Amino acid sequence: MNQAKKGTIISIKEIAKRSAQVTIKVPDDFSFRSGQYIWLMIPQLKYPDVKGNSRMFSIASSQNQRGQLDLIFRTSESGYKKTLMELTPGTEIIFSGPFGSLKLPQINLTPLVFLAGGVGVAPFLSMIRYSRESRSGHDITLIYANSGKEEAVYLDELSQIEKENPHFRLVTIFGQLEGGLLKQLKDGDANSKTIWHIIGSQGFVNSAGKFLNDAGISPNTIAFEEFYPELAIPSDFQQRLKTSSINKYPYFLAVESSSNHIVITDINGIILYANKAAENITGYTFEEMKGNTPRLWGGLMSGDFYKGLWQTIKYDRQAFRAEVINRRKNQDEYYALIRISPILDEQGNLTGFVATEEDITSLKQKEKELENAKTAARNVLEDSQADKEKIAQDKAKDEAILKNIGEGVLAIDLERKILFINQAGEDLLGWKSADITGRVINNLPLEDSEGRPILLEKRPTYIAMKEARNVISSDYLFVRNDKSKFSIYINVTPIILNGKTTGAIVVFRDISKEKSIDKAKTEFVSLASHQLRTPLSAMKWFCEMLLNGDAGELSPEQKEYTQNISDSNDMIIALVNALLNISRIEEGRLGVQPEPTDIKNLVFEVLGQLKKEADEKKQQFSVFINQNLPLINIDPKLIREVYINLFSNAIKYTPLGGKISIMVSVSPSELISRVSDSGIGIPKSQQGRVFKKFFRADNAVKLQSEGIGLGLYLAKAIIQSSGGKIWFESKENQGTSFIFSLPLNGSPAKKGEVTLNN
Amino acid sequence: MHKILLVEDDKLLLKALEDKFTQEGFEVTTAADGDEGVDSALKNHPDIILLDVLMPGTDGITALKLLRKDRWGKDAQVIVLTNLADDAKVKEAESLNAVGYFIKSNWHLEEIIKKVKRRLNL
Repeated sequence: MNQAKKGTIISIKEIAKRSAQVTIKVPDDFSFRSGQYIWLMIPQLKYPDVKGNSRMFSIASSQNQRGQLDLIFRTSESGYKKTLMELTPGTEIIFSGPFGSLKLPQINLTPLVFLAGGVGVAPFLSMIRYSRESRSGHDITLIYANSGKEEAVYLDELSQIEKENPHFRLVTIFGQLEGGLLKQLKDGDANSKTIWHIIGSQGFVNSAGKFLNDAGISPNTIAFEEFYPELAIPSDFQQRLKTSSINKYPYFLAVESSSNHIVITDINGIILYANKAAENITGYTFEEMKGNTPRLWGGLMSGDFYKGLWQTIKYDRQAFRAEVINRRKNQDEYYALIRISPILDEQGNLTGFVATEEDITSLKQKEKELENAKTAARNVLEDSQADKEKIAQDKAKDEAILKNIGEGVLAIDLERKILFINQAGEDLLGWKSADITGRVINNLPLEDSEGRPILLEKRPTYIAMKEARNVISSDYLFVRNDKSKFSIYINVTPIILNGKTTGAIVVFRDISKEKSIDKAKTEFVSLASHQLRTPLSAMKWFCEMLLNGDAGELSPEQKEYTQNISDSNDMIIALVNALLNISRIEEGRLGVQPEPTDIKNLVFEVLGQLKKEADEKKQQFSVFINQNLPLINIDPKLIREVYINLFSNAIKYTPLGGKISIMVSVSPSELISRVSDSGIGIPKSQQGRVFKKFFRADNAVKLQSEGIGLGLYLAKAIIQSSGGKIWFESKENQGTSFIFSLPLNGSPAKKGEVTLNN
Repeated sequence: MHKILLVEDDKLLLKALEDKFTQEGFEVTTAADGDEGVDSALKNHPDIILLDVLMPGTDGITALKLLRKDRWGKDAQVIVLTNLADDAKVKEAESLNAVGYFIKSNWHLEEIIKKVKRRLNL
């Protein structure tokens, strides 16, 4: 594999600022892995170069490409590079390799993040190209750092690959590596299993390595590949090692058979020799190791670590000893104790290094287990301590809260025995905590407003725990020990753990005052309306009798005046009724009692009622009602009121001979009623107030001065309580349509204390 | 001639009712509160009773309860005629077998007469 091969220059061109690409023709049988590099030797240098005539280049092509290779490099003023740039197509060159340890893992389950600095992108490019061609399915994120866009090579190709391949993500950075970048990645593709590869100049590799370490990325998962310092042709030592046979150097037998892993490298760390034990421990054969450095199974430590290592062995020329984590060929990680010593020749020049390794994994494992056990024990101790403290704190907090709540709070257990009661609860119920705890709550006397005891099945706590739901009650009275009673509001919340009811919390308070205020309010309204109605009834009946001639025949004028009194009186009666209804609606006391209703009948009933008035005004009524109207569950008393309202408005505000229509239809979920007229309409500026209490539009008042303005307010309240909507369309002097909907599912029943007053 | 008992505390209303029913050919007795009403009913056994609810002293519903305790009283025809619109009271009246519950201010005398006559199959 290391044998020199001949190749021909196909092309050399600048592809970006300070970057050039050389394409060389190589033998068809030259194979390599993506990510590897070759040594390129120019036989004759045009410009002298102290570092010699061969350099290392990363292969930028995919391994599926046969017969030709792309290499990219930073242009420079060195003799070698200047010569290279001026080579003409067809020039023969010599190359050896491939070398290199970076490769795509066999299994594509671990995400990979490639950090490339500048032209360090080349091996990554070959890996990415290969992954695309072979559809390897590897999840790759390439972070490509450059000082500027003009310097970033292959950016277009990489962007294109990103577009086509969902497994590949490209992140370009022009500038410093920042913490935010890693956060982005960590949340996305990178996890603890991610393998990181860094390639670039030494400076880039070091700073990138440090950056990752600082961000908490485990050194186990980071692999480096620095650009090698430009290397001269193999040294004497290397040559000697290569050509020596075991016979000539008997000590090598000892080295060969040693059970300790021994590896000999040149001054740049390139492996020249590895013994059997080294092959066993690392899992790589010597053939596989040749041309690589021990980074092949290492490189998992931090950048600083390797810096320190080199410093010691190369510059200080001291032996280096450390515990490291390495990775075998099968990706198993192991702990190793490594020792590296410099090899000096007779003149004291550094000629290479010898490294030994000892697998200390099991030892480390035992240490770790011990440490883990210690930590676990410590944690448990701390946790329980923390728990104890928290419990104590919470308890104190709860006690303080409960003490200060004005409402009564008690807790009951599974059997409804009282576990706890707060101060306010004690005061309310007239029981001391010591006397009440342990008692079954349902044994405490609870009555209704008639003085009858509440049966167990109706007790709020019983229901709450049986049905595992919150129960609120405000209708009962609690009887204290001294036989005094008070209206009690009870709110029970069951405690459910793992699906089982284990107890309940009961919050309660005295609502006697609220109840009496309510009662007073109800009584006031009832009383007020009653007191108003009595004289009104008297007026009504006496007018009636007068008009009937029961007190003697009236003159036409007398009749007219009496009729006027009667009409005004009827209006006040209507007003009182309306006010009473409003008060009920606003207090939420209006009951809704739905029953299956035939709307058609309802409409005709109302029409019949109002026929006289319509006939007097010679108005034409049109009725369009769907023949197949289903029965609908609504409160007929309430909806009748709405129709009466809408029809009488239509009649009132439509001139003589006008047209009024009623249309009832069904939509998928609603019953729609539409009452239209050809009347005076509602002025646009006043349309917003149509449903407001006591509102009558100016033109309505002008037409008919009498009117209260409560009809539509009431209609809207009724429709809304019934689960529907009401709206209108109107144009002044043309007519108005009032439309309301009712849910076909029916109105929700509402328990109310009162019904509508007609 | 049919007998009608009017139990009503408001003098004016009572007069209007009394005059009208007399005109219609009824024998009219009156009472101004619940107790008086029960006494009069048990004494005269009227064919029908128009009963007000809100009255000083014994109110209409209490009076009705008392009436129903009597052997004759339990089947007496009673129409509750009141100005008090209270669902609870309506329910109570129903449960005590009142045959109607009407708001005075909403009905013409004429209509009340009709109702009474219908009840008595006249």
